[in-house]
Amino acid sequence: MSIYVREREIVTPGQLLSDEPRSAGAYTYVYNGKVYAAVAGIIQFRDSKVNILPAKAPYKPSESDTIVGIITDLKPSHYEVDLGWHLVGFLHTAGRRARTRLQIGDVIYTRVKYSGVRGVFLEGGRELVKIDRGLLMRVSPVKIPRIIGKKGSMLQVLSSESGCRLYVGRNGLIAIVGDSPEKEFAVASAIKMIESESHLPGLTERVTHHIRKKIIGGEVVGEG
Amino acid sequence: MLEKVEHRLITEDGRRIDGRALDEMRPVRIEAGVLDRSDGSAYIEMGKTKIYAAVYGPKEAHPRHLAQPHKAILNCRYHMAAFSVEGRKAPGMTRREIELSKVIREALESIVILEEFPRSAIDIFIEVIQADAGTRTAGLTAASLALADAGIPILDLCAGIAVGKVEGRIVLDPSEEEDKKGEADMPVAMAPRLGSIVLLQLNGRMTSSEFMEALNLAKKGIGVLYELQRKALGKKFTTFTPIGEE
Repeated sequence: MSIYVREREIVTPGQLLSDEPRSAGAYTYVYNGKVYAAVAGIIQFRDSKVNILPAKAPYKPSESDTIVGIITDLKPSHYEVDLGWHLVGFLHTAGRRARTRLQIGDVIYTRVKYSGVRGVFLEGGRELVKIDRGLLMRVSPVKIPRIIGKKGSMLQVLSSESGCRLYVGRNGLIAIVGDSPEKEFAVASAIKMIESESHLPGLTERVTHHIRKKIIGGEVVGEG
Repeated sequence: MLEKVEHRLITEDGRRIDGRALDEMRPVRIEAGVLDRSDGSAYIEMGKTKIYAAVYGPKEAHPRHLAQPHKAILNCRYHMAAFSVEGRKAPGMTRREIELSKVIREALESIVILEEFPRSAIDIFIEVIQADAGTRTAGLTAASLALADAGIPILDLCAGIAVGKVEGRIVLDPSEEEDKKGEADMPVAMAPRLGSIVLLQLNGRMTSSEFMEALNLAKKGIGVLYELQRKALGKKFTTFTPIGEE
């Protein structure tokens, strides 16, 4: 097995990455038994696969992704959910509408049950959470792993520092639920910071500092 | 006494009217990610030709009945600005622009992995700001770069260039004057890594040996453009080096 790229090398579409089709990872394609890059990005080896990390890319749903969506339509057998971008998810609700009582404009947090030629279907069972207050923001879907952090570490910092509850969707929508707008806006600005500085080291510390400053600052302004 | 002097496009020592050699391209500038409002964009300058390309999507396909259940559809608009040519061009879509939109769309369809985004549409806008020959190939070059900038999966970047026949000689990247007065004009676009020709048109006549010579010359030009495209894409990443992912 020969691999033609190094970790963190910048590649462009059409670049030969490997001779081994089984090593084809994210944003690559196999052609004539060889693996090529499909997008421009940075090489990352994970689980003996060659993956590409693009600077920006449209969201493509895959099964068991957690998502945040907005109910846009009520049909006889299902809800239609706007997942941002071009995507519409379907949420089957046979006989359970009375219990969940979702309306147009409601924001939900759930998991993708199926994604394929038939469309995107969402989990409607106990996993579904209706978010009835808070702040909804949108970031680039490729930045979501950074916002979650290693084993959820960044998310842990964001929520413990601010006391807000975060619902992070793989589709790039994030719902922030806190007990005051100041705290919610502090988290939102910290997320914006993560999005723009995702490549710089020492991010966790800066995020902690940023939220503390924002929240204290917010209270001081409120008192004055 | 007056003597009738013939206006020549190629001098005795094989120089062209603008001083270029027969196999020399005009100066090229290629940039990616130049527009903020679109999902992906690119800018190309080839001599006096200046073109912007922008990509939106993938998004919902409209009208709905055009959506394909197994793949995305491409919409392409090649348009020349009213001020892009000498004298004013009517701002609407002319017959020529509609045709070029179609050939460019078909060229791009062969490189975009459309199956990634079922039931959706990708919009591509090519806006010619200043025209000086070779706009369809330059437009296609910019459009493929804009697609890559948007992060849409593609098999390969594609680049295009025109070759012409002027006073019996094959020339690379003809200028407006050479295009008008020459005997033949052949725009060629390729996806170099795939080794496939995605666009080839020929206006005028060439012998088969001239055709092969022209095609080889085009390949050489496309190779240069392709490297510039890759450089433009790579530039975006010099400041982007992710660390510590999930």
